[in-house]
Amino acid sequence: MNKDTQSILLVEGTTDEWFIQSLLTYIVPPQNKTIDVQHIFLDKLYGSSENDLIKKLKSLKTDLRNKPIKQIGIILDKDEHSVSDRLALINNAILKAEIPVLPLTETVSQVNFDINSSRTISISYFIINDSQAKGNVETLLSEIITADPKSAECLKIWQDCSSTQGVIVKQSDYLKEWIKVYLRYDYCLQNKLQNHAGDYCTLEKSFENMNKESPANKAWDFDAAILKDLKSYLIGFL
Amino acid sequence: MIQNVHIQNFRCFDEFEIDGFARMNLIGGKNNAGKTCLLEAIACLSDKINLVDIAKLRKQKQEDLLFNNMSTDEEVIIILSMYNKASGIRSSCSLKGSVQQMSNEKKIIPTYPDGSISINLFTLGMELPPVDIVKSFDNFDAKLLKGEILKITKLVDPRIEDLRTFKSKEGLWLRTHERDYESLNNYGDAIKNLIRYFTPIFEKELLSSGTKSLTVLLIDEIENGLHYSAHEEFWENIFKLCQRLNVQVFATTHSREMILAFNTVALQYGEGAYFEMARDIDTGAIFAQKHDMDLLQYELEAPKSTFRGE
Repeated sequence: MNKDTQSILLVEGTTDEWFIQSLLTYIVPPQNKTIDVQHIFLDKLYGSSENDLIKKLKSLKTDLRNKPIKQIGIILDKDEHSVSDRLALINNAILKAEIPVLPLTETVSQVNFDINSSRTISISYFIINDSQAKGNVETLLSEIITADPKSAECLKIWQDCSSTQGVIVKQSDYLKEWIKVYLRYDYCLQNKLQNHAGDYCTLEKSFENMNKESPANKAWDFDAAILKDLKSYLIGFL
Repeated sequence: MIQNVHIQNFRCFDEFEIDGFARMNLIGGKNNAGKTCLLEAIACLSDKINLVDIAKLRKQKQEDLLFNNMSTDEEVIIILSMYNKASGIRSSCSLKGSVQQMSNEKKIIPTYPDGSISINLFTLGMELPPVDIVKSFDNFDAKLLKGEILKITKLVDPRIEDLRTFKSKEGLWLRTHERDYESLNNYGDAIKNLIRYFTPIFEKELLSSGTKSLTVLLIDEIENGLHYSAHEEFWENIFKLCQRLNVQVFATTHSREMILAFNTVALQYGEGAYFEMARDIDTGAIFAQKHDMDLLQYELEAPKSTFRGE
């Protein structure tokens, strides 16, 4: 991708933004570190509803004409939906935002439209899922850990106990807590980083550190096979 | 009301179309995005202003500077499309002018087809001929006009008790409960601007004695002199008055606070639209993007939003 052009990646929220930003930097080939990812702008939807996506796409319309944008990527979590449900949401949002493209399908993952006589913009999508073909960024992260999650797994007892007390802990909330405990009590303790918790043991820092020399052991395995498709998708934006 | 403006070969516009105006229109965008030129184009359709005046006011010696890229081979064309909701009549008024006409005739008269809505333009806040406020004040029943204007000025300074003219002194004079009459010139821009915006509108209402022909109010950089804490109340009053007096407003701004206040009030009263003007990065052409009030609210309320128009 020519660095005089820009790309926009739409993601659902802050965790997705940190994760994708970190992964983008990570996938730049080591022999070509002059490539930077400054031309790729991540933008949050603050939700995953059709309305969130419609408003975001509409709000981008001025940028599409007065910035050298060439690509828009829409990255949504699969959650409990089917891929066709997610595609329907994306296609409806594009339609309601009055962007003139043909529908995206499971086989056509990128469509183009002309913003003027000299520039074409592509829209593509990627649906994040885990090894069970569902879930979201958090479930994906739980599958690329590098430390033994023995403390985080204890949260199952907390979840069960809460249930007996009439407090239902949703699986998505459970996973968010699971990741926090994994970083603070499994990853950091096992790597003796507990005295620098502010620098290493939070989610944001764990992603920042993926592209730094220290610590030697990273919190996440960005070489995991499950990330192959996502990395292939992101390489298209470099 | 004006719904659409089409401009060809005028100042920074090669070919430009803006569509979907509401009663209250706020226009944002970076410098040199054509905001003031858009107001000037609308102003040219008034019988009070014309193309030649614009050249003079811009201190341009040659009329051809009004032409986009000095393309004097082509005419300047400005077309306003209008819709009268009450009568259901659609109409348009247009202005076409060549450099020869400007040189020879000194005035280009716009065309108003039968059935069109008459437009009275008050082009204030721009570098256009100011309305003679004092004359307006003296020409009509000052008591009626005074009451309306006082309500507005109290928004900015609640201490103001009276305003009047004196035969022996020039200009308008204001009295507060603390100080005797002082010239309007001693007051800040906010008071001056409010009086300048609304005196001709109230005057028009008093003149027309109930007829509700469309009045267009053009205000460049509407935030000038107005403290941000007064923005919301300012818009509330403008919305109410403009609905009552059948006034359509086109205002430009660089102020995020002004956009926020506009959005808040427009969501409550309806009839508002925000337009962002910018240049196409590939062609350099100016374009306008409409943001309805729900979208504007979304953009303003997004966490860490720095939205202030482009």
